[in-house]
Amino acid sequence: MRRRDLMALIACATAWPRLASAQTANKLPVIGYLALNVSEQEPELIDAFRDALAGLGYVEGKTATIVGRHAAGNLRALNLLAKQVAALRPDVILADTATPIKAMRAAAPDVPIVGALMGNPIAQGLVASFAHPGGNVTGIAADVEELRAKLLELALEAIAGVKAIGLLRNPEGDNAATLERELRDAAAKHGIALHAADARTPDDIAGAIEQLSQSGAAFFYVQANGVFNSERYRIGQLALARHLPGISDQNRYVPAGLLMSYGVKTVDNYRRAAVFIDKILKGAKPADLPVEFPTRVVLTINLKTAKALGITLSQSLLLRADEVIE
Amino acid sequence: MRDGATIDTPPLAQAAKKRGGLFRKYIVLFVAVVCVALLSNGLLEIYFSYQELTASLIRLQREQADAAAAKLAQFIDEIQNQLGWTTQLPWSPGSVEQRRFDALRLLRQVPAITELALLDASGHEQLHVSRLAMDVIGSNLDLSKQPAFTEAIAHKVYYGPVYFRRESEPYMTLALAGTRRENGVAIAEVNLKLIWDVVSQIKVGEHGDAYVVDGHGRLIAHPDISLVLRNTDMSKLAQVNAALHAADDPQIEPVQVGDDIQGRKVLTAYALVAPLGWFVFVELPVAEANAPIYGSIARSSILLLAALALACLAGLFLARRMVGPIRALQLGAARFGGGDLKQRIAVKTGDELELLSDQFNDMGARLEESYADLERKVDSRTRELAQSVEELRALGEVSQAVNSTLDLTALLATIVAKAAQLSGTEAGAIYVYDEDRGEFRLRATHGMSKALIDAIASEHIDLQDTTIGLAALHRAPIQLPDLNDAPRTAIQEAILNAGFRALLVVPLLRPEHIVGALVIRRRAPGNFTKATIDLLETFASQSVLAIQNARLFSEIEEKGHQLEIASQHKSQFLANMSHELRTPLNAILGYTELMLDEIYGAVPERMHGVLDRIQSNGRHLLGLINDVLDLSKIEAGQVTLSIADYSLEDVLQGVFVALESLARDKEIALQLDVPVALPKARGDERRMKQVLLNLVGNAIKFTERGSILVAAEKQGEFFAILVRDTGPGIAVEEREKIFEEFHQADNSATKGKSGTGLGLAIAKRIVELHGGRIWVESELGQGSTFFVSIPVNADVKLEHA
Repeated sequence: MRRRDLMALIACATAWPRLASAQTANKLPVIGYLALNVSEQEPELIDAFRDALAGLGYVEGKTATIVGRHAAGNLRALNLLAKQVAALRPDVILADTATPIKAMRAAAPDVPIVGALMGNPIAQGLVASFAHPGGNVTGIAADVEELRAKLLELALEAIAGVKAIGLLRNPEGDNAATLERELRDAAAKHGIALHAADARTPDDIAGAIEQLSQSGAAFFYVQANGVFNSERYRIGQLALARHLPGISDQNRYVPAGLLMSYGVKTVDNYRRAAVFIDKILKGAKPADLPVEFPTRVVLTINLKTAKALGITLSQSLLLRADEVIE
Repeated sequence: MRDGATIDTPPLAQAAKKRGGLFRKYIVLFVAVVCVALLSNGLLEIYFSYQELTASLIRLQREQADAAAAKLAQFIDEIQNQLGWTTQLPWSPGSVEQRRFDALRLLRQVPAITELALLDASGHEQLHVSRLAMDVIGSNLDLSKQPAFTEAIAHKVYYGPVYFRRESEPYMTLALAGTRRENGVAIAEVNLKLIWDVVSQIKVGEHGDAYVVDGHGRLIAHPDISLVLRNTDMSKLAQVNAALHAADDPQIEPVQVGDDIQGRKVLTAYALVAPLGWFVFVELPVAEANAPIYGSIARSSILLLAALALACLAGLFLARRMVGPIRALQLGAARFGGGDLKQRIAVKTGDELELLSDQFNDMGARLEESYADLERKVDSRTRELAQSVEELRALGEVSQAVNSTLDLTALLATIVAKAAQLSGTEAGAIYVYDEDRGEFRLRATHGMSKALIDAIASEHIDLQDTTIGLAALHRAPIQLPDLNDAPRTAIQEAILNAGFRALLVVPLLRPEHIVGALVIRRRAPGNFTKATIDLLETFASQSVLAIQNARLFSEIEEKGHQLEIASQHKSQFLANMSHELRTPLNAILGYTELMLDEIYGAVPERMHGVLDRIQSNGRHLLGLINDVLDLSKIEAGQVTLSIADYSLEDVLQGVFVALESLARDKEIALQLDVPVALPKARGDERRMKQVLLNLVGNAIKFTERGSILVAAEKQGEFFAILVRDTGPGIAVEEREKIFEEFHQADNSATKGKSGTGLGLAIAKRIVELHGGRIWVESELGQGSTFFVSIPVNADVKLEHA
């Protein structure tokens, strides 16, 4: 063997692994998202999602393309946005709640969908069971059956002498009926009446709160909802103006002026959704990925609201509180 | 003798072929050695490092598992401890609120506890707080038959089986009895998913993980929570199975390499979470664990390749270093073999090869010396041979001169010149001994000045008191290496004055006689070699021969001259005698004729007979005298043919007529056979008739009975004549002699036949004068045939002759 040939061989041998690895990165995976509860102005949740993806090695523009649409609570725009997301030909899609999940499922029937904030996925027809979703959708539940009853119990502990409570709801949301039934059942156990007030658009909110205030409700439950999410600060202000304490199952309503929330920490769900995305991109089938329930259930109490409303919170309640806004 | 082919076939081509073999062998051997060494080293290293790596990884994993197990145990302990606070006090009706605070605090401090039930000593639930469900106070639910209560009462603590809420979330019931029985029992529902925090913190490599299974092999905690939520049964895994049964059967060895739930090969280690009977497994994919090994293998491979290349290069280098010198040696040897002995093999390896090459060089040097020696010898021999050849040539020339020239002076000069030249001397001389006068006379010289020659010639050199004389007397060569040392004579003084220092005298000898001496002189003093002396002796004998030849020749010449004169005298005498004898004989015959013719009176019958006899004998005597005269004339060259045209037939008829009566007298048939048209001959008719008369006469004379045939014919330009008789024949030894003078065939048949014996001699000469030939064919007792062949035209023949 000639010396030159030998050198060439050695050079080839050393260069080979690099050549081999260079071939895989041709096409970046496309991660799409459709977020109803996120607006351009408040991208924290999507940012958390992106951060979590980056932690798993999916860096926008480098190792993955992460694109999506924020519906900012606009339910009517969902189908259009879903089509836009589908046109991006994503490999996997993040959608938050049941409505965008369904819209997305309609727009891109073959693309796996990870739901970040699924209310009651079985009831909403998104999955067959928690352990074996069986379809194209999996994700993280934000909601378990007794959660609202517990929230009601905690609220009753904070506010004494309650005869009736209110529910600010958006009938267009998927979980509105379920929520109302659950809440009515829980209230009935305490011998309390439930008044529901509908608000389909932001314009309806003030009227609805006024309606609840006049119905004699000691406090009201704000349904987690894209429209209300966008309008939560106005809701908080309106409630305070009416001396009407508000509660929610989503902690991010609390800083807006509600009294308390008891539920999952939304941002945790978005972060956790990245793990699902990762698994699916690595070949896992959504049908086999069990729906998770978040580990943490957080009791958040807004002491400012309590103070403004003249509510004295019991020691046991404060004892339970995970986050206290002062 | 060496085979020529070995030299002729290009040794380089052969060498290259063979060199290739050795070269390849070296490289292959070298590479093989290096590769085997490296390969075995690499394999051993890989094997051992694999063992060590596996062992250390397993150890590390076990430590991690132990740590995790400790953490889990601590987690449970913590819960247990926290739970202990709720059973510090015995139950009393007023303590419920306090206990509720404690319970809420507990929930806040221990997130894993989802629900907490506090039972009084009788097993009735007095308080139930929950994260999701409604808090219940004083339900007084009888749980005294529940295992959580009974077991806790019995063993202070109770760990319930792991169960799943909503079929997916692992939970466990943990019950703790108070230190005193009246303190009751706290039953906590513990969310085991929180163990995930612990498990997920265990990082083993890139893809390694840790998980926890309960005493039945069900997965409790796993970084991939979906596996836990799926309620996975891990007991089918070999390592889990082994761990589950290890408690019952200590014989079971922990599995170190097994498949994980995804089917990957993993290094696995576990630790028991003692109070719970759970197992923490820490697993690392073998592929990853072995990555360093693979790296090591890759490095080893590259190293091997590099070593291979290096070995190739080193082999190449070494082989070149080894084969190069060997090849140089081989080429050198081949060139030595080819005869190039001047070359030296340059191998400077400082080892045995250099020694070998030195020895080759030594050998070459020796061979060169031998060759040089041999060449010197050959040169010397060649020179000697050339000298010999020159000597031989000189001797040959001398011999040729001796044989070809009778000029003795010139011959001796040649001899002395050659002698001086071949002996490497400057001068020489040949003396001839005059026996009569007893002195040596200078006959030939070479390289001598006129003065020296005169000086020597003027001296009398006899046998006594001279070097030459001494040599001649002793019949042996004498040399004077230096004339300065020899006694001075006049001659030697002269020679010395002429510048010569050494001289060599070789006597020229004949048996019993001294012929002369050959002397050579040299300017340089010193002895003459044996070879020179031998050479000069040869020249001396040649000189003797030359001198002898010259002497004999001069003697013969003198004798011949004398003989010629004597012969002339004889012929003259004979001619004169014949003439003088014929004159009186003619007178006698004339007078006898006159007497018979009775001119001088009547002659009586008796006297008539005597006169007849006188006349007959006189005529015979006259014939004899005529014959002698003829012969002597012929001998003396005085006979010339009178050439004219004649008829051979007439001549033959004349002979026939003349002799027919004689034949008839002897009753012999004489036949003549001549062709009719025989052409005219040209020659001496009378002489030819004389020849034929002689031949036919002889035939009649020697033939007693029978017949005689005379025949003639023309054959070409010759006439062939034969005379055949039926006489006694002639013996072989006589046939030539009969044509000599005074000779008759001597046998009984010729006895008493008269004749001079000159007839045939005369006939032969006459025929030969005509340019013809005469010869005889005969057998004793068978008769004789004489043949004569003469030219038809003798003129032509004579002109040609």
